[in-house]
Amino acid sequence: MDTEIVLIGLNHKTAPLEIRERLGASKSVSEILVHLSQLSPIKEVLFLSTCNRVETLFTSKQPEAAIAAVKQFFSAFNQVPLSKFEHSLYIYRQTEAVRHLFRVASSLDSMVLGEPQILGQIKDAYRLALKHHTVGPILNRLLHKSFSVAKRIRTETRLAHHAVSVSYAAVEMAKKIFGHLERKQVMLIGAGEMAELAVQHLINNGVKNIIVANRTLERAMELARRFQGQAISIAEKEEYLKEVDIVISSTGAPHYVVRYEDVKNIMRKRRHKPIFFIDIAVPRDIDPKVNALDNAYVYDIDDLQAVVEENRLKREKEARKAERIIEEEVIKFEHWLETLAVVPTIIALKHKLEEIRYKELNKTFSHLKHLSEEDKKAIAVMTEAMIKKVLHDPIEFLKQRENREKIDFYLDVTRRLFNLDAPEENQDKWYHVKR
Amino acid sequence: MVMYTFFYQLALLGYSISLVFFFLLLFSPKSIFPRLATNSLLASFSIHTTALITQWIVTSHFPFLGIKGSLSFVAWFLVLIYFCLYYRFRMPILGTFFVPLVVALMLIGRVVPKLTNPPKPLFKAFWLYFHISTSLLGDTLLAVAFCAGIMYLLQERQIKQKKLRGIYVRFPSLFFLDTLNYHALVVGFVLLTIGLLSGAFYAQWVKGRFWNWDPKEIWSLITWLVYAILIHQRLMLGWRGRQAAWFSIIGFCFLLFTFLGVNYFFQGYHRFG
Repeated sequence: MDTEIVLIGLNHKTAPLEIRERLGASKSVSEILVHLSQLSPIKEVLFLSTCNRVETLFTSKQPEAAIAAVKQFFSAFNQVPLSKFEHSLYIYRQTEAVRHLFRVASSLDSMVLGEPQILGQIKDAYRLALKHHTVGPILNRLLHKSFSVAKRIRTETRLAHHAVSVSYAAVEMAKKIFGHLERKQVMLIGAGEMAELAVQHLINNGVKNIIVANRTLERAMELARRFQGQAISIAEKEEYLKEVDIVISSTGAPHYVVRYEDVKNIMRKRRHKPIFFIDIAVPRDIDPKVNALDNAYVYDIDDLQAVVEENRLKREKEARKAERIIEEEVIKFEHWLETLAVVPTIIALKHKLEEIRYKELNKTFSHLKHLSEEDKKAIAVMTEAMIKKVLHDPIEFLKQRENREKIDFYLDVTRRLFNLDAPEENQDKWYHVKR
Repeated sequence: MVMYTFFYQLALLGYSISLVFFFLLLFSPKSIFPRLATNSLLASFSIHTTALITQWIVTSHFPFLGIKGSLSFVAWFLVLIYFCLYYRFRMPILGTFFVPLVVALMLIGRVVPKLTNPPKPLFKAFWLYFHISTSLLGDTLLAVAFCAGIMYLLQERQIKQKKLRGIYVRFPSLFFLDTLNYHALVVGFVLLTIGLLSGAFYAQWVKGRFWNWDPKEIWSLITWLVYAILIHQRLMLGWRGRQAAWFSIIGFCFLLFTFLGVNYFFQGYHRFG
């Protein structure tokens, strides 16, 4: 039986957060990977765990047994009964698994279509697998291919061009106003997942100083530590409004936290330096009238949502293009996979040498006109025998039972040594991952 | 027809073609149009430069005397500034706002009646050249401030109305436009000031008086004052953004009147053909 590629996993669409958390504890990724690689039916394996997905990609000669073993392992290792998460699992085999990996790598399967982190996370998982030597020729090629597919989609479509989450949209708007965000100061009023995410995106874009104002100083200090910023009490915020460039507000206050008069009075003191308010709170924190002031801009959650919605439509159009690219690449990969079986390789090898023999014979016979038909026949038989002898040992080697364990590797080497594949099917060189 | 007139017409034709491309690139920025626009602009610019040099050689003075000459010189310099900015920032969309002005200046240069007065003997001194060239360079930079101001206002309105879509997605940031407006304003104002002063010294030398109450002089002074106020507000009160953009547009209207209108509405020795 031939080696199969299998992908087993769950993601944000199939499993709730609490299950994803329990199965993909990030600290023990190495440990999980090593355990997986020691399961007997598994040959090559890669383990990917992000906040939105937990996936195991492996190759095996006994896929059924391997799938059962992986399920058992996750249940035992995380001490979660199988019945709790089995219905959330999806299992893809062969072409399906290849397609799924390509879609994940190019972020078509992400919660946020086109988000760029997932590719980096797959690369990290691959690096870890290389470090522990759990991947071989098939997964190596599959992973490299998935990187190049993701790259192709990034360059050939505009999938990643439009911000599609509220916090990204906020950063995009800030860039429209300030040009670049380096050395800009940010004030976070209140807290909350979305607000913190927005701060994180701003930090990734180079903002300098984070000032955290909160009703409780303790919480402010906690957040300030996380963002390496500065904690202030909520009463001090007016003072700091004179300095900062971006204000993210997300409090539970039932009234406006920043009033029109507050901003109107500080604009002169700011020397009309632009200020951008991102209001994520419901009910709103920033008086919408502030937007009418020169050099003050207010975007509330609905405004940002509108930007996101518009961008999402654009992305969906691009996603259709991306799916087409993935189909093309899946077909190419399938072709390569088919060649990896023993018999086709032996046939290709014989064919190649036979072709050489035939060409050389013709060349020789055309020079040596004096040879009789009988001589020619004898020479042909002799060359045929030579090739048989030469090929005998390699073919036996490929057929041997004891080499079955590493047969994918040997087949790959054979095909490359004798150049049995078309040139573009040679090992991809786009990504070099250090061992 | 004189050789250089042919080159001027060819340059105007080229600028008009690139104007079409600059307009089209607004709607399909990822296409071939940005390249076509910039390349056709570069070709037209070379032809324009050839025209200037040919005329210089033929008439043996630099061709910015006379209304036609100065209009074409300002257009030429505006394109040069566009290429400097393009080299540094790669923003072809600036051309969409510069090139219409270039074409307009060249067209006006073609249709204005020639107020024929061959260069007078007055026209021979270094000071005069200095006076004209600094004034024209200053005018051009203030035109750049004008374009940046218009772009700023368009972009700012979109951001305020929260309808950032279509062509505005490709606009430079408000910060960039305001900074461009500011720098063009400062340099343009300094050159304008030098132009005014050198003109006054030239007048002192030729006519014995610094100030002659010539309409052009009066209007230049008014324009200068408008820009002086803007500079003052920017530096002292930290004006920026919308107010500053509006003011630089108003200033440019004064400038245009001083540059063109005065010649036709008033009589004076600045009136040139």
